[in-house]
Amino acid sequence: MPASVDQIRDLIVTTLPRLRRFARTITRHPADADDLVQIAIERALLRFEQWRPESKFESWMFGIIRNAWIDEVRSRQRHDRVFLPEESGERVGDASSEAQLNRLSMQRALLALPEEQRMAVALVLIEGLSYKEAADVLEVPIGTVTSRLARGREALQKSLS
Amino acid sequence: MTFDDATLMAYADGELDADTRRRIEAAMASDPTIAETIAKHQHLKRELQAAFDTQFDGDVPERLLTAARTAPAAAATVTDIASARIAPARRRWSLPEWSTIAASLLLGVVIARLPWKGEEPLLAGDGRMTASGPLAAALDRQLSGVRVEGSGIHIGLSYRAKTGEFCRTFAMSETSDISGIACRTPDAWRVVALASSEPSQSDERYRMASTTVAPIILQAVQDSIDGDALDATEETIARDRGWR
Repeated sequence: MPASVDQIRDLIVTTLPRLRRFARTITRHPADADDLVQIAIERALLRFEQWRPESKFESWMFGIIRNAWIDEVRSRQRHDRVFLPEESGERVGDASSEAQLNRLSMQRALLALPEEQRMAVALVLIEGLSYKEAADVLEVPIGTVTSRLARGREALQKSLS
Repeated sequence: MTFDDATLMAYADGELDADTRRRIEAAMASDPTIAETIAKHQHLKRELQAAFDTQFDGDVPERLLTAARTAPAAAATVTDIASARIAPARRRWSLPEWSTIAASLLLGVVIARLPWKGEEPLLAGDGRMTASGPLAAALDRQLSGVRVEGSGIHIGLSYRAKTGEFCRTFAMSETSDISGIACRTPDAWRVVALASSEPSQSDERYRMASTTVAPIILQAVQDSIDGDALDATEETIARDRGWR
């Protein structure tokens, strides 16, 4: 039973924080991330019947976000440099605490990864998708996901130590 | 027993079957380096999640909520003719019908609004609209999603229509609210649909960063497409064969 358009609209609103987070790790810029999410929302609604409740809704949306990034947004990205978290008005709270500094350096390390590794790490390690789900979103074999993850992890481990 | 790092990562990610998991746990008891490696992977995962946790819980921009609640929705495909018949009758313009309206209503608007330097991108005559000048050149050569500096024309996607012709969506960024579909006929790129998405006052916020191709154009693509859009390889081949 396909979902109704109203159900899809509700699901989009509910997953917005995660969609924005994923878009942010892809675009590395808050304004571009929200533009990307908006385009993905429009595309999703234009083909809402393609989502099957057997698959995770956020996985379906992540795939749309990734495609919109590749075929539309990346080419017209307004910003050609990485926007470091501390410049982007992130809610850093007490930035002097060690925990906050760790968070910032972790964010910076992830955003510095090559795009392919960044997406694999964001989907599996942050969003909690399985390797299979991430492979579907990225349209690559599972082995490609695991090797991108391994390389991404290696770089991130270095920044931790 | 030794395990490679990929297996230990898969363990940390909960991707292993019960049997392999048990073997790793048994090995962990005798080899502390295995336990250390896994702990390192799990620690990294927790740190990452903490770094990106709840960052976006608050202050979702209003335009995204508006898009989620009001952006046009369309059924992707009619898979079941019976259910389509009992579905509430929804007015759907067929492509030729719609394009006639588009052409007659919009041509004046478009031409009036195009601050084009040099050659006109659109020509009307003999009851049809064709691409010319910079638009025709872009449709001939430019690949989808590629931004060409100074061109001002964006090609969205290429596909084969049910009529057998190659068609491509375009958007003119110097007048970013104009987008359309052109299909390759033997003598010219015929513009079969054209949309001007002038924002109304009320949905200006929602339009602000909207897709460069109007939703009604995407709908027209869905109505006329045969199969899927061309991928990058198919598109390059089609281009090199002159879209025949």
